[in-house]
Amino acid sequence: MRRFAPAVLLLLALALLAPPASSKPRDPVHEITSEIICPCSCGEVLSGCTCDTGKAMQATVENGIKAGKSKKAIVGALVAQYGEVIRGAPKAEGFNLIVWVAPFAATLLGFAIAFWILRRWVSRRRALVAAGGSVRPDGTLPFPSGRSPEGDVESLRARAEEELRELRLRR
Amino acid sequence: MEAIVSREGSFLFNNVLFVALTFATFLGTTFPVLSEAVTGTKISVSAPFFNRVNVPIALALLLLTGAGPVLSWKRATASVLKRNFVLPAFLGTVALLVALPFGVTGVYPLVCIFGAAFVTATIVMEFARGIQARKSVETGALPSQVTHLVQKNKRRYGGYIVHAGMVILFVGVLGSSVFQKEAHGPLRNGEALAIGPYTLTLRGVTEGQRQNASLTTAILDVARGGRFVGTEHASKAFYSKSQQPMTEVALHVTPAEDLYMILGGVNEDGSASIQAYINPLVSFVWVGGLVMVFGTILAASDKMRLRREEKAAP
Repeated sequence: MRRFAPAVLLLLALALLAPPASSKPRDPVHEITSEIICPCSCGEVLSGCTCDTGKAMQATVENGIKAGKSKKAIVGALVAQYGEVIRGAPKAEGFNLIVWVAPFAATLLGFAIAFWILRRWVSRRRALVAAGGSVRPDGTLPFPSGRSPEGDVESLRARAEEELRELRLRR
Repeated sequence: MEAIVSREGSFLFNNVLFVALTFATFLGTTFPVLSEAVTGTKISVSAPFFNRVNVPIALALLLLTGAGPVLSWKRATASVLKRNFVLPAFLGTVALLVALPFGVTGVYPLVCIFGAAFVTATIVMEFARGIQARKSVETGALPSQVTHLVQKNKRRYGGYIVHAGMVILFVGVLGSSVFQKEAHGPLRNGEALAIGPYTLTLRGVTEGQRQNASLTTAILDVARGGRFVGTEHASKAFYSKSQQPMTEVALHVTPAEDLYMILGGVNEDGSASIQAYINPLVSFVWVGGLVMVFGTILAASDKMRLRREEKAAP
């Protein structure tokens, strides 16, 4: 890795010295309109909306920015006029907190369950090894199961035959 | 299985992320009804919400997609991790540093660039290892070596092709969102609107009738770098029965970018409100999807062939 270090440092220096080129500049009007939904039947995100209601709302946002109003004040005024339905993403408060928290909470819970299952599998295998389970020369167990040795032999035989059949067919 | 850090583990965590994405999408689409029933207030859960919630989960999925193939089955030892992770991580960092001067900012785009380069490196490494392992029996040109390698284990390499499709798709989404260009303005006949390398000149606005809709169409001449590339028609249809307006976007598609032209309406002074967007790399989204479908079919075909041949065998 050390031999790559000069190249990385050179790239880092170039990256820091070079001016930002062609990515989209942060437009305050776009920042607001991309978060608002047109309340008419078109249901478009305001930044791409071309209906009359949408154009009027875009003008309100543009005028608000020109007048030096904050994003919060502009959005607040629009919400007061058209209702909460214009927010493309609901405000994270009260009951609506659920929609923000639940996906990430579910992901973390899923990870925790997956981690717990994996740990159980690993510890079960370790316990089998510690109890003197039949370990193969490479250190792995033939079959992590609670079946009788005869059952394991049968299932292993069936698996070996299946793999042999697949090998023959592949040729 | 001997350790949590293993390929089996990465499969399980990957599946958790797939389920999380499905759950977030399901919750987002059904939540307005639920919220209105509970609070009595009508709310929207639209693109801005999904961009905030699904993007980080999808990026985690991209990173795990790269990590999976470089972890060994049963147990990934420290030496295996070092051997398999160093090069992809290095190339990911290089891609990141190359992207910075192009003005790519923000955590998500940068993670996406790192992840795309990381996954690409792992796929190339896997193919290179496969080709290397078959060197004694396969001496043809590289394309035929790759073809034979895939034919020998369609399930495995089909999976890697799905990963490649995912990278292409992510790059497409990144390009079209980060580098999008926008221009709008009122145009009179003969006037032009510049956007990136394109110039849109209004040739006229026509009124027409189509079955149950009246149609207003802006005719636009499109030039790229001063060279005429075509005439496009951006329309606004008004359906009399449902009293609904409908925007019909004019589209100029190239492999590098899509140019969208929208007619906002005709103003009182007779000028047409034109909105134009350049969405770079949209073709990557389509190609990525097709590559993923191809990889899936390839991976599934192996098992299907085996079953067919098994049935045919005496």
